[in-house]
Amino acid sequence: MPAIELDGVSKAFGNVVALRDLDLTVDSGEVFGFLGPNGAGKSTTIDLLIDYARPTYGDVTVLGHDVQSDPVAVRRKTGILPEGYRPMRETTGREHVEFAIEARNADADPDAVLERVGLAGEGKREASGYSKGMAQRLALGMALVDDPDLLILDEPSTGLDPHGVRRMREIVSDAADRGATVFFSSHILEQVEAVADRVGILRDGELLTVDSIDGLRESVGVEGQLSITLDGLVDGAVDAVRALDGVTVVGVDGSTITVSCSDARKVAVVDAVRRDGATVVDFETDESSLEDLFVATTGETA
Amino acid sequence: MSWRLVARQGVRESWRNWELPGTIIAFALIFGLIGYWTGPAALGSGNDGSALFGLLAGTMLVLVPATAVTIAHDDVAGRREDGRLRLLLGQPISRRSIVLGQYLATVVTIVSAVLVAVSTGLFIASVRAGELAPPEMAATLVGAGVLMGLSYLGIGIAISTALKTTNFSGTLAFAAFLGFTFVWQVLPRSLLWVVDRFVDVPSNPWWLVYVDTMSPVVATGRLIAPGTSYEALAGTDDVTVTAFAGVVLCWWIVVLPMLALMRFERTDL
Repeated sequence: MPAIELDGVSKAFGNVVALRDLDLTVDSGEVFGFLGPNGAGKSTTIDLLIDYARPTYGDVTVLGHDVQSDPVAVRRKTGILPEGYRPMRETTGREHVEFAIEARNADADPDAVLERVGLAGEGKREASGYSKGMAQRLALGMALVDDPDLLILDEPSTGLDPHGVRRMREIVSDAADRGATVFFSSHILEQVEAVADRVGILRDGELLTVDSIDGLRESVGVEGQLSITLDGLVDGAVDAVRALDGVTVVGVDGSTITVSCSDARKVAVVDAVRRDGATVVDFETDESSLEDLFVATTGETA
Repeated sequence: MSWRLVARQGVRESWRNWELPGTIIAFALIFGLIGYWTGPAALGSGNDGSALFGLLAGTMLVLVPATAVTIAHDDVAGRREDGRLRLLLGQPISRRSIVLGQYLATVVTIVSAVLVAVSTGLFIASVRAGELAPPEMAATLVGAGVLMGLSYLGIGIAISTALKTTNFSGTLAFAAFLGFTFVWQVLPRSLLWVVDRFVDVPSNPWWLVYVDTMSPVVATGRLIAPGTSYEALAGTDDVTVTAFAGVVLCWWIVVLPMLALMRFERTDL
């Protein structure tokens, strides 16, 4: 059963169309990264998944439940880290977690939850006095109560320090390891690249592509770089590489040839120099990053 | 039963931010002072205490509605505006439970304040006069205070639930308080006077009493007072009007918040 299904979903705010005819399926146990420039419609999509907003057209199904008709059933099995939230007033961090435990009728230790998100020793403080990063950790802790089947995280790294970012990545990996589905939006592409099985790229409310990162590299064809160090410079090797389609020699430095080509052409480059009689001593490959793919797909930076 | 969780959280917040104890103390002080000053004259020397009742009821008529709309108008809208609702709704809690829980939390504040205020005022008046205030006076004041409080809380919660910002909800709630408490009975009479070309007519049209009764304050008097020593408050002995008063209060306390909730359940946060 898919964890998330969006079928022909559109959302308009007055005259502004935020999402256009979105079709998307996220499988159970998958880590899905949702990317897009500012204003692309990522948060709107997440709001539709958790019934913070209603679609203008289309159906949203999460964990087998229609979100509009049974939002509580969805949220019972889903941990949610929303965007634009604020902690409750006059309430400590520990009481926030206790609230989540009671709401989910779970049997969890609030202190263990706080420790898991890096807030050990901070539970007695009023959460309204927390920094942005601490509040983000607290909301994540509330989302993790009772090990939900689905985690929906909207820009989870917002406000986090590097330790927090790493812990967030570990939490996502742990959730994936126990078979949970993770759906998250992020503008930190290295993060998405590190943990996501597949990514979806949204622009102007339209889903441009959904694929694995490797699949994106192939389909988008963004060029990476390959540096090959030979046992001695062989002119014939450079010529052989130049003769290949889709490959550009960008530099020759002593016995090192640097070429620019798509990831799929890199093996052909190595084969060409070896065929010419050169011995490959070393090689370094620089894959196209998710940022390159994102820029190539959307025409914008994240 | 997540509404209980929300209500408990609401009461905890209002206790810690002094809304609950502050309201109780303020009400008790005001009613206590009235009891202190008027108790001896109103209850002593064989007087029946009607002067004390009138003063306490008149104070309650302004104090309870003003407090109720003040605390209720941002209960949902305020949480929606600043993002607390996004955190709450991340848990398996329905919007209905949020509204009901918040409503009940404000009910605790108003009902506690009314009970403590009436008890304090009448206790001090009785001690000062050396005469016990009639239990009927206490029951009528508590009944009136609770019904008025619930009605204005219902109006405040409905406004807060239906609107997205506290600017709008605060303005509308304050207008509702002023309109129903001070203007409601004056307005239709003024319109009639204008329509009748500025001539006082000998009798009011039959429907005017029903229009009057749509105010929570008037409806409370018309429902509570009949059959008590304070019957004059009702202004009519027509049982149909009494029944209509019950329907009106039911509208403000139950139906209006439900209609607002239905709208809230269909709209974006």
